[in-house]
Amino acid sequence: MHLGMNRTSLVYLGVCAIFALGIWTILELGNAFLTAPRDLSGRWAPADPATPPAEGFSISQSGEFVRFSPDNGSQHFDVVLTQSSRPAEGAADQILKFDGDGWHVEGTAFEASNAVNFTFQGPPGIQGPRSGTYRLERMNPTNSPPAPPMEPGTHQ
Amino acid sequence: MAASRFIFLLVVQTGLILGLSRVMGFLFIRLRQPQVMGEMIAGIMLGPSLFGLLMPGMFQQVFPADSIQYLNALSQVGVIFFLFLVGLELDPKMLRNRGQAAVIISNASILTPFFMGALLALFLYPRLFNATPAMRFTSVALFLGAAMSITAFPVLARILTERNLHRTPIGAIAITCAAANDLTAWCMLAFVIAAARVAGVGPGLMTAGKSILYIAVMFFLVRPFLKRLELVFERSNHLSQNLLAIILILVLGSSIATDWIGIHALFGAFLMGAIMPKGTAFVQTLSNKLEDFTIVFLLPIFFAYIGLRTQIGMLNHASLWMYTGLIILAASLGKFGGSAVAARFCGLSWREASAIGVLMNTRGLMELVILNIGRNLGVITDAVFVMMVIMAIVTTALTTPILHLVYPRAKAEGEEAAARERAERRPFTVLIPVSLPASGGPLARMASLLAPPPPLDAGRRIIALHLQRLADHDPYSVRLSETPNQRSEALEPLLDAARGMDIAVEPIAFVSRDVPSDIARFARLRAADLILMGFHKPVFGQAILGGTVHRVMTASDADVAVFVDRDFESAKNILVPFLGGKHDQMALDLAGRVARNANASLTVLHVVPPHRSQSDKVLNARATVERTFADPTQPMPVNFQVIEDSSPVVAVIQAAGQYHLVVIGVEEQWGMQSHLFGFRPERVAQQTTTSLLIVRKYAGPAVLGGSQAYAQPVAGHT
Repeated sequence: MHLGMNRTSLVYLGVCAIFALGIWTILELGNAFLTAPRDLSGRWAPADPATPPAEGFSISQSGEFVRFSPDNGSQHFDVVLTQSSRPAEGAADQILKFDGDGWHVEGTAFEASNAVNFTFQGPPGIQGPRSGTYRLERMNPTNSPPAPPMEPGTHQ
Repeated sequence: MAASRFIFLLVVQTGLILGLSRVMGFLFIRLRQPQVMGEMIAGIMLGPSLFGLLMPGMFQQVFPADSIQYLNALSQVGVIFFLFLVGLELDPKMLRNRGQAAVIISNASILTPFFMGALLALFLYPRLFNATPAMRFTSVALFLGAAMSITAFPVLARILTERNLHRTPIGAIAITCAAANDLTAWCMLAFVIAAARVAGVGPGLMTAGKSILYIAVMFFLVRPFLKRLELVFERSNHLSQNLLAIILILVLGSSIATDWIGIHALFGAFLMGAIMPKGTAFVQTLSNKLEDFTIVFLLPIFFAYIGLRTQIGMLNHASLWMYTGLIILAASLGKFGGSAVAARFCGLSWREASAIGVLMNTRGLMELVILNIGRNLGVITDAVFVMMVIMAIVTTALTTPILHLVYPRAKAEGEEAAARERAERRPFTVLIPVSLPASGGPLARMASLLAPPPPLDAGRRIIALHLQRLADHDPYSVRLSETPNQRSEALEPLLDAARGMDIAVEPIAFVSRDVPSDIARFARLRAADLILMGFHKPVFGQAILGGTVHRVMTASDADVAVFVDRDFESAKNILVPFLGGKHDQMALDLAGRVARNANASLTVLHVVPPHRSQSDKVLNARATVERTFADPTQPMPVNFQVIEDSSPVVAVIQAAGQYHLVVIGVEEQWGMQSHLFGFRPERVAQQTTTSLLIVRKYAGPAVLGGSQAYAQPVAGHT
């Protein structure tokens, strides 16, 4: 060993090199191929206050897992993002579909604005946003220090 | 809300937090878990996961959303000073001249979990993260890697101390690795934070440049200034309020600087602690001043704040729990696997390598600190925050039980004791646990009489032990200078007395969370023949054999003697009340030792009911005493006295006044033994004015040979 290194040191340096290469590969792969779900978290209010729902809601989101908390005090509900697609190749808008807790929610997100057209289909007899399609705008697009701790859930 | 209302709320909140964290800390100590575990759980309990779930109305009253910012502010101040304390504990000496094994293991214990965290990001990123600028893949992957590679140095140090592993090679490697881990992880985190905050090469280079400048200022300007402050301290031998204020301002200034640079305020506090001069009274005094308030008051608030942000109910989908399991698995595999394989590669056995792996997997509150940073930066989502908090708690909670499985205490101690046994011929060993410094001198005098030097005895070993209770000590940051084999001030009077008598005493001091158990364990470890304890009045009640003494007597498998010192100088005449039981037999043996070494006369007092002085019992007792003292080398006379009295206790009390020392066994009739299991008065001990040696023979199945060890020189047989 002319370099003055023993076998252990060489193995150690080799492992470090493999580690660095591994991290670099992971970062390259992740940046090239992975996208996180569209960020919806924050406060949402009707784009046109004259049309229902008169009140908005808050969304707390962890990737595919989304909680809608209506401002009118009715029970929040949790849905999972089941589909995220664009209506056509290269289209700017994005179609989002969520299911869970008996709810089916669809959203059309517009790249050009901060607005989403939400369509709610709720289970019968459960309080929440009335079924229908509404255009809502995000009040505080979160880039994003989190909101204060959420209130304890009575849900489930 | 009015300011007065906020103040009232804050007082209620902090009171609740402190009370519950203390109670939970106490309970977790009983469960053989680190106290910090209980405090972390207390924080979770106060949040929406339990308190808010069970009593949502009251939860809203006590922790309204708009009051949380005040708790947050307090908790952040607490964490800043805690990180300063962690930096203070970090001694560069530990990192210098490390063996090759420690270098390799410490690096493997960082790199492997870092890699696992980044790898896991590939799976979790499209599922649990949002497309925000703060949650770019690079930031997420690096943050997960850094969060998984952390080891809670203070908690690890505490576990090692509690399990008495810090003197073992495994403990030394683990603590070195954890210290290196701390340093590396915080530097790594500073990099990750900068990467998350700054976009683009230009700002990144600017941040890097500012960081280098900041570090240079800290090392080349602030550090020399701190050494000057140390000189000021040394001149007055006192940490004045002005000096303390200057240091606090420096800590805060350093935090502000790093926050401005973009590498987080906590890094500034940590670095400030790290560059302080180490191993000096200055740092020790500073640490003592700060740690109680920080650890007892501010850190539980941080835990509560974390708890308020942790809503376990958010994990309401099976897949979320699966991801949680995956995170725990990846974190443990990375940390445990990386450390254990590296340790095995370095030549340790699989059992030792596994023990190191388990120890390095302790994350504790350091993980919570990092997670809170990540959440504030917006690098992780609410659900990932909850999952990682659960991971931190699970990995920390599992450390002690799994360590017990892979590296049982009995095995570790057995190996160490066996090695000691082989290494030296066993002399008669007296262990002296010292609680009050003032009791040290008399105990040393008594020990010198009980364990004479060769040729009178086959050799003697006297060990003075001082255990500092954890309750009086910072529960997170164990000072490594307080490891065994270090002298303690509490032992100085004993050592002074020993020097005066030219007796060699081995001083040992370490921290303990269960003093009686640790005394018993230490006695077993050192194969002590006799534990010689002092008596000091308990806080509650009048019992001499209560409290610690009681627990040592019942827990140890060595013989125990309690010395009640009443201005004992020498023993010219000794009284041994004798009824014939095994404890009395031991009292005879010990009294014989003292009599021989002090050239004292010895009176054995046998009390019988009226008109029974000619009974077989008396004859048997006389025969026993004669047999015990048949040794022709016994220089002083032994008088066997029989007294007829309906109350043996009263008879002994009346007789005791004429003697310098009474050596008495804890027989039922003497009212001693009964106290151990009830509340009968210890009249002999309480009502005599003579110095007493109260002895109890170990009655367990496997006698370590202790009785023979001290019976032989006196009796010449048995």
